[in-house]
Amino acid sequence: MGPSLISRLQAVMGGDLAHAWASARRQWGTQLATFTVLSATFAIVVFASVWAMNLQRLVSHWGESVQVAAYLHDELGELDIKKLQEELLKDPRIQSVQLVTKKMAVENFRGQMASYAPDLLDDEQFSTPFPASLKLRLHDQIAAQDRVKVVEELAADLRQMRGVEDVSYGQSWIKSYASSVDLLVGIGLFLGMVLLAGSLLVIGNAIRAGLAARREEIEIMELIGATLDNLRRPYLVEGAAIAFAAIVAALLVNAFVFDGLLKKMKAQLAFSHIATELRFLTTAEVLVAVVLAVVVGCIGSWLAIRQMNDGWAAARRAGGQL
Amino acid sequence: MISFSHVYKTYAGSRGQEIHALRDLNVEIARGEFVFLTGPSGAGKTTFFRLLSAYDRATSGQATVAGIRLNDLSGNDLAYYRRKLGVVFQDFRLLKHKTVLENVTLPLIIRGESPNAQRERAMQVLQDVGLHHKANEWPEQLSGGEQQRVAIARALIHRPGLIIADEPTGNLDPELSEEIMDLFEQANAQGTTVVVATHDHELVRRRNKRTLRLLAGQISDAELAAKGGMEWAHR
Ligand SMILES: Nc1ncnc2c1ncn2[C@@H]1O[C@H](COP(=O)(O)OP(=O)(O)O)[C@@H](O)[C@H]1O
Ligand SMILES: [Mg+2]
Repeated sequence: MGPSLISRLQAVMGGDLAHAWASARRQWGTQLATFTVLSATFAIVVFASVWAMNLQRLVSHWGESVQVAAYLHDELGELDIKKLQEELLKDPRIQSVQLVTKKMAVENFRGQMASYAPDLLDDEQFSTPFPASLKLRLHDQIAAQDRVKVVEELAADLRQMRGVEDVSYGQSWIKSYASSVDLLVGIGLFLGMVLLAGSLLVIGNAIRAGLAARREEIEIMELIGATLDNLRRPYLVEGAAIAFAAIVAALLVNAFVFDGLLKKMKAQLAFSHIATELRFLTTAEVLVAVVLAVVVGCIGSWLAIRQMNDGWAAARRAGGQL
Repeated sequence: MISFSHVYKTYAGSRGQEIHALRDLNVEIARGEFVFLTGPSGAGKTTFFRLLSAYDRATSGQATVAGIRLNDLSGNDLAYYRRKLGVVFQDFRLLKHKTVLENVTLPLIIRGESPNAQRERAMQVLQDVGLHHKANEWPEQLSGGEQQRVAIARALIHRPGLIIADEPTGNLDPELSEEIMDLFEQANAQGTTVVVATHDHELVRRRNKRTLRLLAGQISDAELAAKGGMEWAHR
């Protein structure tokens, strides 16, 4: 069973791959053009994906440091604050709660202001209007794309709570961060769709050219009993093979470019700490890219061979009537 | 096995006139028979074979083989019917971009048989037609006669139930022609029905088989009677 299955597969696939290779040699001009255009297209898509993913990771990394500050009523006692703190810690959205007392707030302020207005600090009469606050950090498990929404919801909830005077979380900054990430992902998706649609056309055209060049061959195959599936399969394999070669080339080029850029960034102080956060695709992501490309290859050639022959092409070409 | 009843095949001529390549053709051939088809060029031999091999469809009339109505064939049924045949086309119809061995093996490849079995059988039929030493050459490197023998090998390789050969010895010298006919007779001895179109009257005479003579798209009774085929004429 085993060996016969393998040899059957070998008979089927070996023949189809040989067919793909033979057609590559016979129409190397078309095939080279297809391969080049496809590699370039895939390379752009891979490039955009790699950098979009890195950007999202960077931004969400920054997003992690987003803090929500809940300012407390003045008359709130130490015990009340402790209670509130414990209550908040039970909230699944919250990772940690840190109390900033009035005194600490003053000291923070002084520390920050020291270089600007040293005289101010000497003034014993200077009493600050700073209220005590609870600094909340969002839970680590919350995904980057959900953080903004969660922060906004959390802020609204906090405002309802007794003892909370006001809430701040860098509202404007967080909004623009969210919309810019959305925009980037949107643009990326649109670009990807357009390029993939283009890939389908490119592959389809290559296959169609192959079909035209091999019309006689296909007719002969038909006449000796090849089924439509027999005839189509080599072209599907051919489309998949072109796409496979193209995605491999695209990935290699991207890996090179990524490596080069990373080295340049590391050499520059301003980017060096960002550079350590960047990474290329994981093995799983590479596999996904290859599988997607092969699927695109198959679909592209499928579109070209969909309405292939009905079995009577040879007769029609010979002037026969049906 | 083969039954043609009131079959017409009409082509459109260059000036739009109708050309009846076959007109009211009635033919019966039993399973296991060996039949020669003769007739002058343009008589309709190739057209008859085209219909028989489901290469083309009749314009009207009923053509059946082994109970299969050829006019109704489509899709995979069409392919599976064609697989049962071994056809030697008058113009060989070899694949230019495949070697002799690959060409001969094609019917087995289509069936998905194992590469080892394919190769063994292919070398055997190539040996039978005397071309095993040319297995790896390209069809265009061969003479007309050699190409014809490749086409014959391809028609024999899958041991078809019906062999249809259109002037298979047209490019062969008498000696080779006899060898090829022997191959067809061997296949016939194993139960394969064989129909061979030929111009070669010597060949036909020596083999002493049932002979159908086509004339202007019809079976000519007179010729059948003259060949001693009276018993077939009125079946
Ligand atoms: N595709 C075609 N278009 C128009 N006429 C054809 C076509 N094929 C054959 N014919 C005509 O049909 C007749 C029979 O041809 P054919 O079957 O090839 O004869 P044979 O094989 O006996 O020489 C001829 O008159 C030929 O010109
Ligand atoms: Mg002819």
